Amino acid sequence: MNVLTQQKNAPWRWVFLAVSPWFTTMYAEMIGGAVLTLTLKKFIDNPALINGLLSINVLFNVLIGAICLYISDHIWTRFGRRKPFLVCGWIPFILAAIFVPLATSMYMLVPLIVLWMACQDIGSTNEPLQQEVVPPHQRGRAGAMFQMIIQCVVIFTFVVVFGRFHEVWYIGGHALTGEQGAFWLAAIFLITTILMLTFFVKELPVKESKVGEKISLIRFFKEVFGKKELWPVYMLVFAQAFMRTQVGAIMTLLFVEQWDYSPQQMGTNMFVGALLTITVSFIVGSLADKFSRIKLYIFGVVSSLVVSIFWYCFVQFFLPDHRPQLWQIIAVGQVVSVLGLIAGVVTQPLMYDYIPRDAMGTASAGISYVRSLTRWVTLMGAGAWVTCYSKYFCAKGEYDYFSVYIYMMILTCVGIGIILNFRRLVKKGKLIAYGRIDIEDDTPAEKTDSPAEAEKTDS
Amino acid sequence: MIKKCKVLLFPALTVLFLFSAWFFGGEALTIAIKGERSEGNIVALVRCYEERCDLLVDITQELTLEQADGAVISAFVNREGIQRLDDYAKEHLTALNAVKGGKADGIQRFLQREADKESDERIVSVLRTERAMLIPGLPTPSAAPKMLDAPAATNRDEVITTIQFTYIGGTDEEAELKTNVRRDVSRTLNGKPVEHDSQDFILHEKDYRYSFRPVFTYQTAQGSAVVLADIATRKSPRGGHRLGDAILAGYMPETPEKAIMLSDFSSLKGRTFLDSINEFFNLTFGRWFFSTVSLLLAFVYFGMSWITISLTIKPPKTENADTVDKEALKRMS
Repeated sequence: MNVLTQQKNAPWRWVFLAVSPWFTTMYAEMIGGAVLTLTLKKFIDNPALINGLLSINVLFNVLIGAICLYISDHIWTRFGRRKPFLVCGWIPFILAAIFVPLATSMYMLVPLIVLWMACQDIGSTNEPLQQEVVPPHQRGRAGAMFQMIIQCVVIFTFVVVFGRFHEVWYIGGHALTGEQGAFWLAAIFLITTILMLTFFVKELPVKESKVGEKISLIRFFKEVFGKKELWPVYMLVFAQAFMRTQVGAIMTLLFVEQWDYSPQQMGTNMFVGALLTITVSFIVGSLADKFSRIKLYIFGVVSSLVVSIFWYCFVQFFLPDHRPQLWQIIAVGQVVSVLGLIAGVVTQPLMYDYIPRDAMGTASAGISYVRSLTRWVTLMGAGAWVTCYSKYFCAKGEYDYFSVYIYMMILTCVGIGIILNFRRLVKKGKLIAYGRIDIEDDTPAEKTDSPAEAEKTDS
Repeated sequence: MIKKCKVLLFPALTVLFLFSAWFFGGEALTIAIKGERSEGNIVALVRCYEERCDLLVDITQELTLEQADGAVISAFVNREGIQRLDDYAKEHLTALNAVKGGKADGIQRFLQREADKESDERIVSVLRTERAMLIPGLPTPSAAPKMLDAPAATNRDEVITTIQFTYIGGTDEEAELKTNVRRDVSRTLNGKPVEHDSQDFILHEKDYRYSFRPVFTYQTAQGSAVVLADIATRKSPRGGHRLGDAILAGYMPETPEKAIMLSDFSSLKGRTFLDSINEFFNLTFGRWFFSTVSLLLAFVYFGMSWITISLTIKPPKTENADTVDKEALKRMS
């Protein structure tokens, strides 16, 4: 009755069990964002410090997550190769989730958060484990299940859990806060997922495994960053990370602390936004293949920038109290989300157009590194920006979290500049769309004298 | 044995979470279904900070709003609402309502919106003086209803918070203070000035360690009862949970002291679409959070039980892919 890896076909019940841990990981990820921000806010006022602490997660993605994934390819134990990481990582993760809401000072909370973030990344072998259970021909539908799970997690986290952060219930003489509920639920999910994986999932040994191979991180990095043909792709990723800057805790603080909306109102905003996004994404997805990728991408990011500039001017110069209504936030959020979706839909195909087909795996690792490191730097920058901006432009002790929009707009402009330069190089023929050429024509990429045609074929 | 444990894992979790749903919400559910209902209101708030709890029994406010043309609107506010209004003040009820409740930031935003008007009747300054009466140092929060019954015998503290908001947009002071609304905050405890971190009124704390727990009164066939609520809010009381707010109490006639505040969904009427969605979630999960979550978990684990049991009863036929190391598999088995 075990769910086995490496099968030709997996029953759908297996697929469901294999995909279900995503609920736990996504929930932990979301709690580690919005809810942890408010928990940190109990002890720390400085947004740079809050964002800095929360962005450790991104740094650990590359320092711990990627390395655990790499090592898991090179080992074999009687319990498998992915499961040991999950179990070893998640047990301290559970302890962190239990104790975070009980912390009474910053000095107790910060080590717990570091433990939380580190252990979360040790458990990143969940994804390959799931992929090993689900055979390739079933992964499309498993992906749909995953998308469904994400939407369920968004609704559950923001509508049910996040809105209760400030509330307290007295049960049998004991006080239980919504904050404790949020973190302890994560612990419950983690415990049941560990039990499920331990009892029901069995890993089978792989024929062409890398067990016994020498683990060399230097060779790994040489392979990833040494190939010159991948550098333009990394530049593209770098630009994308700039244009879709995530500001982490700042958005929660803007909503709850500066605009004075309750966590429940923020949850409602996310809920209505998620419902609208699901509807709109179908339309955007169907249109995406009909236009040139790079043009569509530039259209997406430039119009996002225009909307952001409009939104900033509207709030900062038109609204006298600088506080938009909830419906205005949802309306503008949806427009930005649709434009982001347009850019997002073509992001992956556009990037893979410029990767040689024999370097997909190496490129994926490199992309992940460049994206995570850029994200980490931009996240840290967002907190530092708000702190510095507030120091010069706000009354003492006040923070203008909305100023993060200026930071985002500057980064988007830099990103657009890089993309336009990328496009110029493509047109000049200095960059070759290896990925497309391999598929569209059997002639070797190097011999194609008109790489710009690849661009033309887009239209 | 291990196989039996595996089969029983998710059914056991289902039962555990069903039990937990009943533990967290069973009593309230019984009252909501079988009990009596009565309208009541909040008469006090237990305000706790870590181990210390005070009982907030009364809040009154004096409001003075000054217009750009120099005219002054003033009013007195108690738990029944705005009182002692002259005819001129009646014309400005909207402005008074905007500044009578809520936190200091809200009044600041009100003044910023007013400054955008061109009329001479725009408000340029607000003075709100809030007097709060507290019974200090409750031995335990559960002593609150008894304390209210014997008010004369108890010692009371008077906390007066005064905040003067003045619009200073376009002046040199704005550049100096980096804000267009100047706030002058003062707080006294029994007449002596005290420092307080929040720089706000007593119901609006910055620190999450503050909690506000309502004490409500309602009418039973035997008379009125005063009960300490089983729900509270941190930082500041939730809307509908402030002094004087009307509530819907549910109780069993034989134990009126165990009454609870029920979610009153009739309050959704007349709200905007987004506001009503928001309030609906507040009312539903504010009362039933742990029990709803436990029920949801029980439901999910029931589904998992069904899958795992079906896998045991009817295991699927398996065929290893070519990637499996058959030799290693043989050794493992």
